[in-house]
Amino acid sequence: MNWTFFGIFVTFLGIFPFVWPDPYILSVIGSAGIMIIAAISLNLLLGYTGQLSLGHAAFFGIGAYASALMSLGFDVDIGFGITWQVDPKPVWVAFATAIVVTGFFGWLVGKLAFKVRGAYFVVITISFAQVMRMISLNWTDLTEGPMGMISIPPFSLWIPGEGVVDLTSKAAIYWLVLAVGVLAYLLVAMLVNSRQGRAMIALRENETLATSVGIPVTYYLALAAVISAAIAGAAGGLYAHTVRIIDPDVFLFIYTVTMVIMVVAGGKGTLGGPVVGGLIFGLMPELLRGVVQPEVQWVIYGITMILILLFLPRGLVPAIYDFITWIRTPIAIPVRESRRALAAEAKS
Amino acid sequence: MTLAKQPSETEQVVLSLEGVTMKIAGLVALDDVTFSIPAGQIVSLIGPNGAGKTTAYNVISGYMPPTSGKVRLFDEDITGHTPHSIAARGLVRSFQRASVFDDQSVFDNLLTAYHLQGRASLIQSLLRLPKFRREEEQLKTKVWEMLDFLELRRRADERAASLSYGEQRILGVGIALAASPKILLLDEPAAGLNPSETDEFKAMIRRIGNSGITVLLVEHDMHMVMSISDQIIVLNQGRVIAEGAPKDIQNNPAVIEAYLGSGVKRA
Repeated sequence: MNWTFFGIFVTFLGIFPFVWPDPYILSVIGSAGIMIIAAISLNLLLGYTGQLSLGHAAFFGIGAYASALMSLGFDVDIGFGITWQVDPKPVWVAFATAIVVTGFFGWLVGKLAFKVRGAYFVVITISFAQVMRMISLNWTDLTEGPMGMISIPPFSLWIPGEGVVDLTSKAAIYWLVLAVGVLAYLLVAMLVNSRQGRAMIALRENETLATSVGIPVTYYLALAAVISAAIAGAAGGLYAHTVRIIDPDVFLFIYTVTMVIMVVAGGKGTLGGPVVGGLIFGLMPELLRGVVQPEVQWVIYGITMILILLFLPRGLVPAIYDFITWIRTPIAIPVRESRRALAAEAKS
Repeated sequence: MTLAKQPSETEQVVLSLEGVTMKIAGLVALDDVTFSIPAGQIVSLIGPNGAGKTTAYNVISGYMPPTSGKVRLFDEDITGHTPHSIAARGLVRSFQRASVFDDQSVFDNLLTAYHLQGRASLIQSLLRLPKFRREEEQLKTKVWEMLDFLELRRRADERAASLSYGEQRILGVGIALAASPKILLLDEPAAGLNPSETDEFKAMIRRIGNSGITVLLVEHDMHMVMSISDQIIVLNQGRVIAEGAPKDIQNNPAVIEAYLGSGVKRA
C-alpha cells in the first residue's frame, strides 16, 4: 500500500470542509462515510477470510441500538421479576460499550456459524439479521419498537479554548466520521499485513493447506468476525449519535446489500476497495438527485454496478493496479527481442 | 527440536500406528494397520490403487479420526487431534493437489507457512510494536533461506499459480518444511513430473532427509521409491503386507502378487 497516497488522500479529506463548507455536501459525504466504515468491516470478513456475511447490517444495527440505549439509559423487565436498569451514560462510554457488545455478538455468530461454510453460513447470517430486526420491532419496552428511538444525545468533545462542544454541526460530524474511518482503515491495514492477517488470507485461499501448516481455523475466523463486527458496531454507533434517530429499519437487508456492493465493486480483499466502492455508490444517488428522475437514478445505479462486475470482475481497485502495471511493463521487453519483433514486422 | 538430528537417537521411533482401523461407509479402508517409523529415515508407503495410502495419511495427519486404534507421535497419543495441533507438534504433510496458495506470491506463500514460528500477539501486530517488527524481519530472512534451499529465489515475486507444475510441487514441499516438521509426509510428490523434474525432486528429498527430518513418502514412481527409501511399507486392501528394505520388498512374493496378481512368477 502506498502510504504517501494514503496521507495525501486523508489530508485532502481533512481540509475539504474549509474548501467547500456546504453543509449539504458535508452531510452527504458524512453519511457515505458511515457506510464506508461498515463496508471496511465487511471487507475483512468477505474479502480477507472469504466468508460472505449477508447479515452484516445486524452488527451495524446492534451497534446503533446498543450505543443509543446506553446513552439514553433504559429500565426493562427481563422476566422472573428482575428488572434491568441502566442509567444514562456519557456518549463516548456508550459508544465504547456498543463496540464491545457488537464484538461479542460477532464472536457468538462466528462460533455458531463457522461450523458450516458457504451457503449455510450465508443463511445463518441472514437469519441472524432478521431475528435482530424482529427483536427491535417487538421488544418495545427496550427499543420502542417501530416508533424507533428519538432524541439520542450527540457526541461531545472538549476543545481547547471552546470548552465542551456538542458535535452537531455538519462539519464536526464529517470530521468525526473521517477520524473513525481512518482508524478503522488502519486497524484493518495493520491486521491483514501481519501474521494474523496472513493466516486469515490463507484460510480464504486454501483452508486444508492452511491447517496443515498449523493455522487454527476456528480461532482466526472468530477473530476476524469479532473485529469485523466491532468495526460495524462503531459505524452503527456513529450513525445513532449523528442522525440521532434510529428505528428497526437499520437492520434491513438492503443495507447489507449496499455494503456488499461497495466491497465487491471496489475490490474485495483490497484495502482501498471498500473506500472507492463506498465513495462511488454512497455518493452517486446524491450526485444524480438534481440531474435525473429518482427512477432513472436507480437504473443508473444498477447499470453501473453490472458494468463494473462485467468488465472488472475483481473490482475497481485491482483493475487500477493492473492498469498501472500495464503502463509500466513495455520497458520489461528485452531490447534484442523487441528489435527482432520490429524487424519481423517490417518484413511482413 | 534437535531430537531427530542426534545420531544416537536414530533408534527412536518418531511415528507409530497401533492397530489402526478405518471404516468409511462400510468399506474397510484400513484394517488393523500397525507400523512404526524410526527417526531420520526416508520411509515409503506403497501399494496398488485403493490400498489405503491416502486414508492412512489422512488418519495420521488428523484430517480423519480413525474408527479404532492409536496414532503416536514421539510417544504422545495424537489420535483425534486436529490437523493444526498435530502440525504444531511437528508432523506436517503436503498434498497431492492444491498444494500452494494460488493467488499469492511465492514469497508470501512461504511467509504464511511460517505461521507457527511467529509469536507476536494480536496487539503487538496491530500496534506494530518492536517485537512484531523484529519478528517480521526474522521471518523474511527465513523465507529467503528457504527459497535458496528450494532453488526458487528468482521466482519469489511471481504468483504461485503461474509457476510450472514441478515448481509448484517444490513450493508445496517448501510450505510444509516452513512449519518446521520433525516428520514430513509427502503425498505422491512426483506425480505428473517429467524425468528431469523427478530427479530434482529426488535430490531435494535427500537434502531434506540429510537435514535430519524424517520423511514418509507415498509414491507410485517405483524407480524413485527404490532409489531413495531406507525402508518400504506395502499396503494392500487396507492391510500391511510387507515391510523392509527396498531389496527385500522387490523380491517379496506377497508384494508381487498384490501388484501383478497371482500366477505370475518372478521374472
